[in-house]
Amino acid sequence: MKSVDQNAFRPLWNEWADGKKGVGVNDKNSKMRAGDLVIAVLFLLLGCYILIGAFRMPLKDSYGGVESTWYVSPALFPIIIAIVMILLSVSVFRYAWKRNGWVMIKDAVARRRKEPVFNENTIRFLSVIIPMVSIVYVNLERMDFFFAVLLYLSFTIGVFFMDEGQLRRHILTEYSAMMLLNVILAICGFKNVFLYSFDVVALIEMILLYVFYRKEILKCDVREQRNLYKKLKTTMLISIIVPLSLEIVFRFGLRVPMPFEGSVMNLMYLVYYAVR
Amino acid sequence: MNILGQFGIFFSRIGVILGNPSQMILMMGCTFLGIIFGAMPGLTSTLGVALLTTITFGMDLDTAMVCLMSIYVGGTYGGSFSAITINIPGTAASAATALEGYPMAKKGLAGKALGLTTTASTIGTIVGILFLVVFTPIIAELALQFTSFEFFLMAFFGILISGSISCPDTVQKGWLAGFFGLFLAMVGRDALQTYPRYTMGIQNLESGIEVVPVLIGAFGIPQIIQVLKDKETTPEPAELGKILPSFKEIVHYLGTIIRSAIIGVGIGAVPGIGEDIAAWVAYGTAKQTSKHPELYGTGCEEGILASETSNNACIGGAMIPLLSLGIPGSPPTAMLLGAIMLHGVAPGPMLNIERPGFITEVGAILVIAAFAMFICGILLAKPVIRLLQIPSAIFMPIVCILCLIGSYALGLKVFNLYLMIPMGVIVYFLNKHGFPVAPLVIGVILGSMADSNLRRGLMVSRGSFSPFVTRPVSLILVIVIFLTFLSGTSFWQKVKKNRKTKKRTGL
Repeated sequence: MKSVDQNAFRPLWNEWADGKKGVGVNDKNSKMRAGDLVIAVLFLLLGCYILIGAFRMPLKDSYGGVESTWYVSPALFPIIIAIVMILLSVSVFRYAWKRNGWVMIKDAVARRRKEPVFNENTIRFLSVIIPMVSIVYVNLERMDFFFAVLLYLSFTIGVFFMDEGQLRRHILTEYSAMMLLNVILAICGFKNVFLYSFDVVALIEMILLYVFYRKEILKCDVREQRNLYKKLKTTMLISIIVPLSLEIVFRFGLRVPMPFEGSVMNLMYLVYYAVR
Repeated sequence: MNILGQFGIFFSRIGVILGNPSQMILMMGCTFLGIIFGAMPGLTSTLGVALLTTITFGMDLDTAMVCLMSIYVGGTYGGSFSAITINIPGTAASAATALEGYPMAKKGLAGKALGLTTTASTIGTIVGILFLVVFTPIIAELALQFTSFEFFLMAFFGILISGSISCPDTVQKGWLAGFFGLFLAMVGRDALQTYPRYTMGIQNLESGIEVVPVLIGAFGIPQIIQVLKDKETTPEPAELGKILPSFKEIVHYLGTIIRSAIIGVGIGAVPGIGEDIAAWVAYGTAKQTSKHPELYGTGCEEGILASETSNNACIGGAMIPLLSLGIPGSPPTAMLLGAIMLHGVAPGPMLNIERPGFITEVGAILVIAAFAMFICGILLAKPVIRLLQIPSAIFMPIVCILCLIGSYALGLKVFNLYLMIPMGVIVYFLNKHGFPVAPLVIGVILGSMADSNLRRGLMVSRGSFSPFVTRPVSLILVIVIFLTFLSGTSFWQKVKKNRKTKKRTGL
């Protein structure tokens, strides 16, 4: 979130005060029209999908012993939604087309061709998305919650807290390679080798990630290095404390079983029952 | 029940809560947590309510309500802290406050500005509660006369009006977002014939898309992506000085405060319109009616009072349709609806019959939360300001983990997370292109209500649409929906433009 430009909100509230809000405002924002055009097409396709799906539902036939008529059919509301969605998509498409949406798309594509595919903006976006996707779809159900979160936090906090373009780029590549390895291992059924198989992998990956960070910091400006080491220490500390506290609070406080309870969780059980 | 009787119960409930030390401690803690959520740029009161929903899931209803309402009140007010001290509105609702608050801070009056926002927010919340306690039972009683047709139209109207008002761009985009939400609500087995719709053969989708994880995804994930992706530096906060409530200014600007509170309640009561719009409208109205509009933007006390009174009064307003009709008035109340339903309470016209005293209890909790907010705001401002200096790169990934574990904990289903991530990414892109999230969320919540009520109504009328125009409330709603729809068309815009040109040329 950016600082408030003292005049930034003026046009917005002026629109409110003048009652001008609606079709026809914000025309200067023609960059948005390119996106509108694409999103309108996607919604149009979704509308068609809903409509096709609805016509496959029982409209007059019987289903599950219930003789259906059109007005009790499960298709009725989806048909209404689909028709309205298609109409609105066409309207947004027309609106964007009239305001140079297509020209803006061509412009954006031409500009994109001149830029490198993985520019700073894309790298930042991928640095948020890749760890998020990998923790949910790859790690959470295969390794102990502690390790899954540790990997996520140590990467995400590290690359954004240190905020060094080259460091982020390299660490992202290395982290993505590690997650790709996890995907391959998951497909090969590595989880079934023994209970803590992915925990061991995660531990090795964590150590590697730490080594990669140190290696990247060494490449940075000497004056910056001390600050970066300090940030790395903070990152690692937080990455360990947060999942540990969450496991204790959710498992023992709120009685929520973790998605996968591996080595750390079982160690905690041992301690918990020994103390109790 | 007469209004005096209602107030009697209301005050006795206040006494009960005040006499329960554990609830009072929780209330203070959650209000403070709410202030932190509101103050931290990137975190919102909606996200605060979302995360607390998962933690309060195991608590009894009364305690859960104390926690949820407190974080809602605290979060709405907390945005003013960062707006005033670092010129970054903690929540969208406090953007108008930043316009006047930061110039005051630059003049060395940050403490005074915070004193004003604290007092104004407390007054705003209390005015909102008065409306909530008085009007909710009346509307709920009226709604008992509603049939399926009215409920269908109410849901439809909620999506349309929320799409119209919350969309920063063309209204069609707001409606499209709303209908996308309706489609998401259609996924799963339908309520009347249990026919599987749009499940794509995935068994986990047969029970439908769970509302709370979708809401957490829609509110949390885009925020996390946005904050981490956009490189930002937090400026050094302004010196606070002494924070004292400013009763003198309050008396001086009493007219503005009352008007702003009424605007806040009114806007809050409209489905899906949040605190941010209430604050802007109140700020705009205050400027338009001010004797010194030229002072706005230079640190005008009246402007701060207007926006802060209004956004907090919106809380009570937003609770009115939620409790009386089961239709959330603002994004945080959409989250609250999910939380209340998890505790087995179904907000709507039957609420007062099924759970008598629930509405007054909510009112009582809100009153005490307003005072808790006042105390926390005055006494704990300095630690909150210190917390503002924590880099978002540290707290945003932690919030992401809280969103994940929270969504998982509600149904112990990892599948909830599988839906939450794509949902968050879709909402992020939609948001980026000016598609508002509020109508989408309202659509997800009201979808099944609209679907089953339409079909139930048509079943009773044997397929006839005539009750839409023969029943008075239905007819009014049909006309309002038609006008709302018409106002978004280019035809209406042309008519308006022509009329304005004629006025200008004096013809």
